[in-house]
Order: sequence, then C-alpha cells, then structure tokens
Amino acid sequence: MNTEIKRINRRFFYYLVYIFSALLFIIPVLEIGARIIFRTGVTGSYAYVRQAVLWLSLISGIIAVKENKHLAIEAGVKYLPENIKGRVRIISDIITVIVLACYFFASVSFSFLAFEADEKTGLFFTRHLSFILPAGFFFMFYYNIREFIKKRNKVLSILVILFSVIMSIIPIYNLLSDVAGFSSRFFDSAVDIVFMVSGFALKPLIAVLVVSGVFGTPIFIVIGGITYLLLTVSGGYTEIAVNEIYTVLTGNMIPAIPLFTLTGFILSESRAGIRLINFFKAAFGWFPGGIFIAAIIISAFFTTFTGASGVTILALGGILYVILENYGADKKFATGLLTSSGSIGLLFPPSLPIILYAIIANTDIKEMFIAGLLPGFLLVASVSALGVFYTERKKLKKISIDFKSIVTSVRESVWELFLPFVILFCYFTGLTTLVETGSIAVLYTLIIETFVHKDISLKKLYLITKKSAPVIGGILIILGMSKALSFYMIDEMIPQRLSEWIALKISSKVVFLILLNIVLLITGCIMDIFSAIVVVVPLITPLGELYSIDPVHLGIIFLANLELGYLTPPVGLNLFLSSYRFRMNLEDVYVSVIPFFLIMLVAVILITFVPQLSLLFIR
Amino acid sequence: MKKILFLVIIFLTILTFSSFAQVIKIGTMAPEGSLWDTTLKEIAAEWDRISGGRIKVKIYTGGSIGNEEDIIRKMKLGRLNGAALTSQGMANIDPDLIALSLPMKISDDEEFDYVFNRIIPDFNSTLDNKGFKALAWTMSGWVKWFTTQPVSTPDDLAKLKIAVDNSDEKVIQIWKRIGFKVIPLALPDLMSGLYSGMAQGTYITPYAASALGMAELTPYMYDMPITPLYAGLFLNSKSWERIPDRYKEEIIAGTSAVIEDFYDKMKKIEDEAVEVMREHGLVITPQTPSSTELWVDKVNTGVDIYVKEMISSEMNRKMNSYIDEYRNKKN
Repeated sequence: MNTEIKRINRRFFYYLVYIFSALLFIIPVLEIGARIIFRTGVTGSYAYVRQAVLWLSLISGIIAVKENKHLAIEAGVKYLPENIKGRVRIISDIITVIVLACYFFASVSFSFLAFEADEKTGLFFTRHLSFILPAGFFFMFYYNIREFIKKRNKVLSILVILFSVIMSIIPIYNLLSDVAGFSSRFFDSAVDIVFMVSGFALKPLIAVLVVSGVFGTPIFIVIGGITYLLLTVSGGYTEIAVNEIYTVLTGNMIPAIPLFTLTGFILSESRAGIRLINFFKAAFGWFPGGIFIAAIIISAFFTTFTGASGVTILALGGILYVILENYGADKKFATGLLTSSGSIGLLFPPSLPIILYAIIANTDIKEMFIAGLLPGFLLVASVSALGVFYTERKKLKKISIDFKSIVTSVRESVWELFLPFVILFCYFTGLTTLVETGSIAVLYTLIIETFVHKDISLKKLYLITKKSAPVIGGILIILGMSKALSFYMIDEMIPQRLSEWIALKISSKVVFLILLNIVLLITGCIMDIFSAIVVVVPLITPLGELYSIDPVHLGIIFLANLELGYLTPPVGLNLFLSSYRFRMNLEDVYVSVIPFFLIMLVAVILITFVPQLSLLFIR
Repeated sequence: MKKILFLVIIFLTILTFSSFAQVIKIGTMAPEGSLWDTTLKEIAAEWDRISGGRIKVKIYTGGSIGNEEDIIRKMKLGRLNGAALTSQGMANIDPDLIALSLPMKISDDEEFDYVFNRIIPDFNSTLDNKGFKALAWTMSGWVKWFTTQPVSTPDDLAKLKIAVDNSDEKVIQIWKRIGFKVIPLALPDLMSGLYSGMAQGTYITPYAASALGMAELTPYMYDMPITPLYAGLFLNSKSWERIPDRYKEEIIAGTSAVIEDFYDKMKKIEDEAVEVMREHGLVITPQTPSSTELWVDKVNTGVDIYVKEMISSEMNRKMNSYIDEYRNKKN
C-alpha cells in the first residue's frame, strides 16, 4: 500500500502532464467539431486552452528540474579541470536555488496583485488558475534544494535558503504591504538595503550569472536571474517578470508549440521513421546520391515538427547512420551529413521557430511559411548536392529501381506521407486556425500510429508524454523568462537606442547584412533557438526597418543563420547531439561538418542577399 | 563604517535627485504616428509645461508594452503608471465601464454625447474603487459591419460567419444568442481568417478597418452604428497620488483641453480613410430606419440575459435612465 502511494506520488506530475496534454488537443478538436456541426464553437474553449498551456508549461518545467533536463550550455564544463568542476557546480546550484526562490515569491505576489478576487476565466477564478505559477516555482525550488541538502553540508544549505529569502525581500514586501497592509520600519530599511546592494553589485552579479551559464547553469535560470536583478534595480517591480511569463504562455498562438512538439514525439516514438526511410530509399535510392537525399528529406520532415530541439538526431540518427554506412559512406561523411541535417527543416511549415518568430516580430505567420519554402529547398539542395558529389567521387553503387518495393513502401507509409498535406490543407484553406491545426496534427498522428499501424499503445502514449514533458517544459519556461528580459529591454527602450547607435556607425545595407550574419551565427551557436528568437528579435526588427529590409525576409535571414549556427563549432547544439549520439569525439564531429558548413554558408549568404528567394510568392 | 556612511549618502542623494523628475509611463495599443500617439504627445508636453519639467511622460505605442489586458495588469503591478485604453480593454478593469458599448443600445453621436457626459461620474467612481484615476474620456468612433457580401438586415448577416475577438467570452455569447454564426478568433488570426474564408465578416471601426487594409477582404460596409468605441486616459491611483497636489487641477484641465477636439479630428481622419477605401472598391450600404428597427429587435433578443451577468444592475439602471432622459428631452 505504502509503496503504491509512493509510486503514484512519484508519477503525480507525469499524470498531470498527461491530462493537460490531452486537454490541450481535445478542446480545439471539439471546437472544430462544434463549429462544423453546430456552426458555433465551444463556450470559452480558447480561454481554457490558454490556461492549459500555462499549467502544462509549469508542470513540465517541474519535471525538467526533476530529470535535470533543462536546456543548458554544457560546453564550458567539458574543458574545466576536474578539481574546479565541483566548485563550479556548487555555484551553479546555489544560483539556481536562489533564482527559483525569487520567482516563487514574485509569483505569489503577482497572483494577488494582478488579479482581483472575483475575476473569472470561464468557470474558474483567474487568481486560482494563476496559482500554478507559484506552485510550479515552489516545486522547482523544492527539488533543487532537496538535492542540494543531500549533496552538500547543512550549514551551507541553511545559508543558501537564508540568502534566497533576502533576495526575495522585494516581492515579499510588495505582497505584505499591498495585499496585507503590513508595514514596519525595519522592513522598509531591509528593502532599501537590498535595493542598494543590488544596484551597486548589478554588473558583477550579471557577470557571474552569464559566466555560470557558460558552465552549465540552466539557461532559464540565467535569463531569469538577470531579468530579476534588472527589474529589482529599476524600481523593484519584480512581479513584472512573472507577468511576462504569464502573458506569453497564455498567448493566442503559443498552444501550437506544445501541440506540434507532441506530434513530433508521437512520430519519432512510432515506427514512422522506419516506414518513411523505406519509402524514400525505394523512391530515391536509384538516383546518384539518392540515399543521402532520402536521409536529408527525412530529417527535414522530422525537424519541421520538432524544431531545433535535437529530437531528430537523437531519434532517427542511429538508424539513418546505419543505412548510410551500409551504403558505403565513411564515418566522417555520414556524421557530417546527419549533423548538418539535424535542423534542416526549420524553414518549412509548420516549423515552430517560424511561428514563434512571427509572434514576436508581429509578422504574418502565413507569409512567413510561404517565404521559407524556397530558402528551405535551397538548403536541402545544397546539402544534397554534396551527397551526390560524394557518391560520384567514391563511385558508390546505385540501387536499381524496384517498383515492387516502391509500391509496398508507399502502401506502408502513405498515412505519414499525408501528414504534411493534411496540415497544409487545414491551415491554408482556412478550415482551422494554427492552434487547431496543431491539435489536428496530434489527432491524426495518434489515430494512424495507434489504430492504423498499432505502433503505440495507451501505455506507450504515457511514456511519450513523459518523454516530451521536459522538452516542452524546457522550451516554454525559457520562452517565458526570455520574454521578461525582452520586456525590460523594451521598457528601457534599448532596441531604439541600439538602432540609433548602429545607424550612426553603419550606413551601408551590405555591411549591415554581413554583420547581421556574423552576429546571428554566433547567436545560433551559443543559444537555443527559442531564447534566441525571443531575446534577439526585438533588437533586430527596428534595425531591419532602418535598412529597409522586408520584415518577412529578415525573419528568414534570421532563421537560416540560426540553422547554420547549430553546426558552427565550437558550441553549436547539433555538434554535441551528434557527438553524443554517434559516440564520436567532439573534435572529429567538428572536422566532419566542415564541407557541409561551407556549402550551407553559401546558401545562407544567397538567402541574405537575394531577397527574391524569400519574397517571390508573397510580394 | 565610513564606507557604509558613504554609500548611504550616495543613495540618499540619488533618491532626492530622482524625486525631482517624476516619470509617468503610459502604454497604448495605438500605433506610433496615429492620432492617439500625437494626442498623447501633446498631453505629455502639456504636463511638462504645467509641472515646470518635473513630470516627464514616456509613451509606449503600438502595444509594444503589451495588449490592453496586459497593460492593465502592468498598471496594477505598478510598472506602468497609466494607459490610454479603449472601451474594449476597459472590461478588464471592470465590465461596468463598457456598459455603453452594448450593441444597438445608443443610436447616434448626439445621444452618445449626452449619455456619456451623464455617466462619466459613475464610471469615475467605478474606476476609483478599482484603484484607477481617469484624467480624460473621449469618443473615438462607431463600430460597423464589414462583410464579404452586402448586409443590411439581421437575416443577411445570419447567413455569414462573423469573426469576434476571442478574448471576451461574454461578448461571443451575446452574438451567439442573438443567432449569428460566430467564429471566435485571436486578432492575429483575424486577417488570415477573413482571407481564407473561415470568417466572412467582422465588426470594427472604419478607421481600424482601413489601417488593417480590410477593404479588399471585406468590401461591404453596412453604415449603421452598432456600438460606440470610446476611450480614456487613466493613471493608477498610486501614481496619481504621487503627483504634487498643486499641479493636479491644472493637469486635468490641460488634458481635457487637449483631448476636447479629439473626436472631431478622428471623424475627419476616418472620413478620409473611408473615402480612400471607397476608391479601392468598398461598397457602403446606407442605414435605413426600417432595417435599424429590425436590428434593434433582433439584438434585444440576446442581450438581456448577458447584460445581467456582465454589468451591475446599478450601472445598467443608471444607463437606461440617462438614455430615457435624453429621449424624453428630445421629444
């Protein structure tokens, strides 16, 4: 009995994620149904979907903490000597605990200050719904401090908790004085001291956060910590950070992100990959370099759904690698090809980075989707060209056309092959909104993988949500934190100042574009795509205006550069994933991507300087 | 010890200096360069003049600081001091504030003018209870139907799927109850929804319709005022209290003076915008007394129940009494 309770306890958050993921796609599906059948929607469905995303994000965030899977830059730690590693780890742990405590108190204060007691969302009180924020941060804090107490000595742990409370004094003060009407002189001066100390120590503290980020502190902690400090110093409105998280996660388009991620996970956990590989092998294998092209197209297919979360290399890398090797490719070439294909579908609909870019930059999502097509094909073609060239040079044998196997493989994979068309049809004909399209995608893949192919059982479905939770949580929490930071930048009018400054220094559009390429390449190299979009896009959109670059074209430049950034040594994300997946030295992976990097660089330069590639169909 | 003393002195100096200039941050959804933007800038200059440079207004346009719902939260949290809000967003402070925007309740400028002036004191006390201070109110324009096919009677509209902002569930319910086919859409989805045919019409001010370039998508405008869009400039009470008393009266007077001819200017801009849309193919169906009656009857079938849930009976009673007052006077 006792163990049963413990088991349920351990699985509690996973069950919750399961429930909220289900709600997230069922509600829009019901909405579509109601609209078609009754010609009217479901009452309040949108409000519920938005709240479901908020809950899903926080709960998944807790899971990511429990599993230690929040996105972090691990590159720095690798090169540290053993004896220093431990110390760096302690500092990183301390920072994490303190930042989470600050956000816990700030979100309690936020829930009480931002929502009236009688304010309602659907049938629920909005304030009650917003309690997931403090609850989420509390559990993240709790799991971190529990680990900390287990690993380190008690005195240090108590000091850390004490310091957490001191750093949180401002939201505690706001809560007590504004909500409970409490006031005391001692308290006032304590707050003043924190203001003063943070003010004087702002720059060193931010530097510590940034450096610790390079050495493995989760990115959401680094961004969140910096934002919290900046907000503390500029007037103490720390609840604003939580408000931004709330606002962005309850945004209208955001539900599309977990929905398409879930679709990607269902696909990668089923045998869809194998079926598609069989098809593309049969369909393209006879062509010189056809096997390589098939691998690239499959990667494109999967990265479209999974964005740049690295799922493609992890889920399909293994099997594709074996196929390429059997075909006669050497280790180096196969690794290079798969690494550079690890985010190659980024520019095709319904790619999440495109959606997110359009939301943040306030451009039209549909236009962005259309604009991404040609540049996307250009990137696919350039990597494929290398494959063809390699085949010719190595005189690899071609596979002869076998119509029978084409027919069987088509029959097997026809449902998955239809998926992109289902999505494009629903969205572009106006049958469904973007979020609804996401839920259709989940429903469609669920039906084909559970009922048609019987790859996925109910139990496996649970495992899939379990696997997808830390990814979804990781992305969405970073999204929330980054939004808070970009709010601070807008509040301080930093984008305007930056563009004024750059306008003074650079007069030529060409020079600007080259610089933009370099900066974005570095950004893509060190930052995950979601943080990069939320933090960097508000800075570059006014610049685009300044040099009269079409906002849609700017978006494509941005994403193409980031895509390339993922294979830029020394710290591009795909390089690590490949090194991990193919059990290769990082240095060898660097060497393997060089030819691919160069040819994709040419493609990115073309995309940057030939706007027609992006704008042909929309302007 | 000396060090601490030194720090405290620096801190106090910063504190005293900073109290000299008070920065008031104001957010709005209106884009840069719009009439709202220029009006707010005039108001800012006015406050600067009145306070001798002690009050500096910083304006965040185009929703750069958030949408109206978010702007209101930021005022509650104290990060924003004020906002220029439309009646659409005001519901997030208190639904009573949008009493006048019930569809087909008020029929023209003259009637609105009378009722608005009568009800503003009630609005002000509602705001006061919620921790806000209104510095100015103004009419901003009438919301009208823009559709893909000509509409003049409720039955014409009932054939079409109309897009309604998905943020306010009660408003969606009103239209559904009246018997229209409602597609709740987020604003970013509106244009593509109309483009793809998911929705075949929406209600919006002609000024906004022209800014969004809707004439091509929905080439028919039914020239009947459905509901007034009014607006207000609010501060949160804390920020208002911090403004030195000696400036307060003048600030209110100065703000009202700037905003007084806002609606006249707006009407002029809107007329020009409609003219441009007409050149681009907008067809305007004029309002007729007989069809107006049909609309009033039809709308009344759905509004009543939801009025009870949205607006306090007190505010509803007041509004109705002001409307009666006006109609009796007129007759």
